[in-house]
Amino acid sequence: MDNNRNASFGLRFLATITEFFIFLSMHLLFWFFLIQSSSISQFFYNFILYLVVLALSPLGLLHSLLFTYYLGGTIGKLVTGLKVVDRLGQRLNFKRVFFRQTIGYQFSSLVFGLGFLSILKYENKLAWHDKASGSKVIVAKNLWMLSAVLAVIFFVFNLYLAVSVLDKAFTSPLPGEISEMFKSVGKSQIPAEESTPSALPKLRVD
Amino acid sequence: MEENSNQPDWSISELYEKSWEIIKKNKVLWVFGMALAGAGSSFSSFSNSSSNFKDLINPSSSPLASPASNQISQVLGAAASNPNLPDIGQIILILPWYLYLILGNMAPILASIPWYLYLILGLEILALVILGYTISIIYSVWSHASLIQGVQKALGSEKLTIADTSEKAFPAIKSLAFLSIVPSFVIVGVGIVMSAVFIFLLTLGGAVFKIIAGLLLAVWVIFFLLALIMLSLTLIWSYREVILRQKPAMEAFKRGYYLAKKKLWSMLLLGLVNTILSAVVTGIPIVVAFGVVVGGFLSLSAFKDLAVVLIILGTILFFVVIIGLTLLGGILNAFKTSVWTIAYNKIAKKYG
Repeated sequence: MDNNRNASFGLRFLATITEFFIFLSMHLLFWFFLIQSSSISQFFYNFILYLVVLALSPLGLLHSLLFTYYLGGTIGKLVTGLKVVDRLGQRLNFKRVFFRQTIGYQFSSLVFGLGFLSILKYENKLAWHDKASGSKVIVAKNLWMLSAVLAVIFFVFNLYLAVSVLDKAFTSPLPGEISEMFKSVGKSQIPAEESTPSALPKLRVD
Repeated sequence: MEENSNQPDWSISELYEKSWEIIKKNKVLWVFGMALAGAGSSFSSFSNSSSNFKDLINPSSSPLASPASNQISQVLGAAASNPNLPDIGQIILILPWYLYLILGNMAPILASIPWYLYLILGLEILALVILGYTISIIYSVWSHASLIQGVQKALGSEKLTIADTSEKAFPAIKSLAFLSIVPSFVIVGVGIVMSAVFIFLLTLGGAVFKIIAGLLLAVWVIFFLLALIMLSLTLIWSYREVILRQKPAMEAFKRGYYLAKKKLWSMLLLGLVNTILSAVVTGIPIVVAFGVVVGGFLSLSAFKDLAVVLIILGTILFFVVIIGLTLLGGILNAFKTSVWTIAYNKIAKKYG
């Protein structure tokens, strides 16, 4: 196989899947620890921490921009041996990287991802976001086997985490406490004359 | 506000015919038209929690499965007759009180979380909002610029590609972003301040003073609406001045205003016709699908089987219409952009 040829749809899809599983595992790990909270107050503390550190943090965007700009691709692409370059094979400038990773992907997502499928249609294997930003994805090294192995490992790991989270969700005392909280709210759901905010049932807090 | 009283600079039928020819032959313009339509909703769909979710192909919406109508009518019939289920009116009345009770009960829990976590969370949400807004602006102006460039190239019978059209649009992004934000911001800002002043004056003084202040407020509101209309018309030409003549933003704005004054009534008429066309093309399918669904719900009590069929059919139709409108919206955007660009070409040299 010649290197520096344009990457096929299969390789790019593999890179995407591997990266998806890697990031999914971070979320599931957080949920795994979240669901082991011993009380509602601890659960909410951990949940806010999850939002701050992962769900709403700029880490995803920063990873996408900085990795692509400095290293030529996000984690999935790097472990698959792919690289994002401009039409002349040089490093993309930061403005183009920003455009490609934000607006470009939205552009390719139009009409159920038709822009991504155009990689299959054209011989030059360019998606719409590649055409719009003047970039291309090349095969810098033949690492697709490593990517496939990592994808399988992380898939299995994610499966284990997901099953554990669901198992904990059904066996932990938290769902019981939360439903107790809603039940006590439900008992005072219609405002009667004697029911004032100060007479609200108080939740037991650890 | 003058207008050339000799031969009109354009006729709507001529603009529409030429635009239709261009749109038919150049499907690349549909893509940029869809991007322009999508740019309006991109802010709400932007997410940075994991870049990979954007990489994956969006799953297509699958058509509804069609369970046996007997089963559905049994379930719906059971639901309609079950006295234990709350009705919608009860739910709407209870919901705010329920939320108040939940939050009241959760207050000690929420108070136990360190304040700095809330601060960081607030800053992250703010950053997301600002970033999302910025990206939506850039997306919108880029797709608009690409569309105008593409139409101009098509008028010159050149072959259109996404790569070349996009490349030519990049230099105009900064000026267009300025034009799309600053004038609107200034006019709306002035509008809010002046309205607040007049409303404040309304609270002072006697009846006569209030009447005068009220009249001034009414005049001000009319003036403000006219200013907004004039701004929209100005920006139509300004954008083309930036993209096709590479003018800087302020110069393009002044020139756009001059052209809008010259061709005010023609522009208003053309804009009205465009709006009616958009409403008819996009509105009719929605009304039909909606009508079928509503008809189904209305006939639930009298003709259950027919109602079920209508609801299922209407829902499927609705999904088909939504998908079709994505494409149709793109074609409409491209068509209207083409109409205005051809009109611009006709007057640009004449009033140069």
